[in-house]
Amino acid sequence: MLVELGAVGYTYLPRSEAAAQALADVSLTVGSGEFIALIGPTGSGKSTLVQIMAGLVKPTSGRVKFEGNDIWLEKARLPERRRLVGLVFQEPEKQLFEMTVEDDVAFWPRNAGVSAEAVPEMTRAALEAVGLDYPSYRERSPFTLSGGEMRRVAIAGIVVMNPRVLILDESTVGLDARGRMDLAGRIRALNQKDTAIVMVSHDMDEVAESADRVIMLAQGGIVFDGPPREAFKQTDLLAGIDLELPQVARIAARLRRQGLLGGRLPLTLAEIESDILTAFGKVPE
Amino acid sequence: MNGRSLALGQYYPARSALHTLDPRVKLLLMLALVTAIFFINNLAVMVAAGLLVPVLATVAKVPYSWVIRGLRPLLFILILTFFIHVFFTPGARLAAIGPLTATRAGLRNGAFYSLRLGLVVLFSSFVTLTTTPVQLTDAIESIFGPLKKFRLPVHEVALMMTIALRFIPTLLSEAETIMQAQKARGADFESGHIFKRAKSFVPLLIPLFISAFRRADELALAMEARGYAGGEGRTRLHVLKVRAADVVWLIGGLAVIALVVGVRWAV
Repeated sequence: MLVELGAVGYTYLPRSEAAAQALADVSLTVGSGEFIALIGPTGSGKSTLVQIMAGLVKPTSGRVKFEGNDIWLEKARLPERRRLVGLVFQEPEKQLFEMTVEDDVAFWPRNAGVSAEAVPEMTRAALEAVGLDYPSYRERSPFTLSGGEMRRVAIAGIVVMNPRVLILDESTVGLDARGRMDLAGRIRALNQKDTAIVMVSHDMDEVAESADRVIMLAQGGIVFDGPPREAFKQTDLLAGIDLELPQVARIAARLRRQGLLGGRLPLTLAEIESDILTAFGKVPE
Repeated sequence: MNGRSLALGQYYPARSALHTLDPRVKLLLMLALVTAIFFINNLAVMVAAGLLVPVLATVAKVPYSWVIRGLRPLLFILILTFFIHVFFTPGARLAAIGPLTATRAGLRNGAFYSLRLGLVVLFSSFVTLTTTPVQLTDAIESIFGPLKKFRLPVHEVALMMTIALRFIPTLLSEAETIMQAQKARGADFESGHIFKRAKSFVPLLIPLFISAFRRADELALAMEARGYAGGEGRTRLHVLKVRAADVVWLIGGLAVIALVVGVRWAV
């Protein structure tokens, strides 16, 4: 297991009157190449949980293991172990600070002591992974870019670490529809190259298209952990945390009520397309 | 996010007579009281004035430990003041440590002056303990209001103070987030010599400044969009109004203070 959380809990301001429990008894594992969607309502502890998973925040109880090693036992090795997991924060473009795109993306390799000759190649690969052309962007100031481009540069700043687990905290929020789709596709491409992805999202369409496992968080605890198709059957759970089914599933549910569609619950566009074709007696390609 | 934003400032939320007292009355009484402390020239009276501290704390429903905490940043100066007086006041010899001689008069003076300093801080802290920063700036604006006649931008300065105070917790939590985000890509804020460490704060400070400027811009726009035009003709949600209780406090407070000052000439 790449990342393993054992009975993790987190309390703000422990031992004070204002103590507030953000997470309680959370156990989960992230295996190589998985694509996990982390969903839950605002205030359910998602952001705290991903910071714990990235080894940035120490849980107030429980254990965090990276590749079997309890990371908080040997603090000296913590910076080096954090390379395993890359965390892209919400609105990551707010953390850009260098004069050029190239310098900003190269922040990690230079800090980590990567040899100077290897840095440009890593930077190029990271920028291309997020869909930015290296030669035309490298010299530009990140602050002259559009919001969407800044977001991509910031994500490249994490991708450049080549993490085995990439955590994205609502990274496509605020992008236009085309930018969203494109970025989602690039994240899937990273996943196909064996990077495990943990994606915090409120967008169930995105979850249905990409994830192969869904973890539902409510009030600081895991209420569901399983495949998307199972997750979207938990209508009570979903309603309880104010999440709707993916649009495709909602359309299918209506067609089903009209008796036009039967069988499985389609989650993606491709699935509903083939279901409808079958219903009309045509053979899906 | 972390708890730092909660512990900001000294304000202790409670419902007490002191909390509901008009902040202008509080400010004036505090000024009078602190001035009075400087008129006291007698250790016994000073100790008696000191007894006001637990009385005020009880009235304000603030725990004693919370009140005393206000002295912490001053502790070193208090102790230094005490010992300088103990050892450097001429008088009857009490004890000697090496070349230093403690005197009876020194002990007296040391107690007197460190008590004076401590009381000044404690009494003024009762204002900040029982008044929210926003109330405080309102009171300042009201007290200095007459200066508007001389074209001094009293309202604007008070507004700036309020906005600055309002955004301190926001900036703190944002700094925390950016710090974590930079740590996530290998930034190290903790180790190295002083220059290296100062340099390591660049990735924190630049984003923080950018967002502070952007926020200031947006706030100005938002205020203009809602037609905010500043002091002239503006009405308030919380109007400061002097109530009977405020007058009683003011008169009673001034009487006690007059008594404290009067002792100087009476005895």
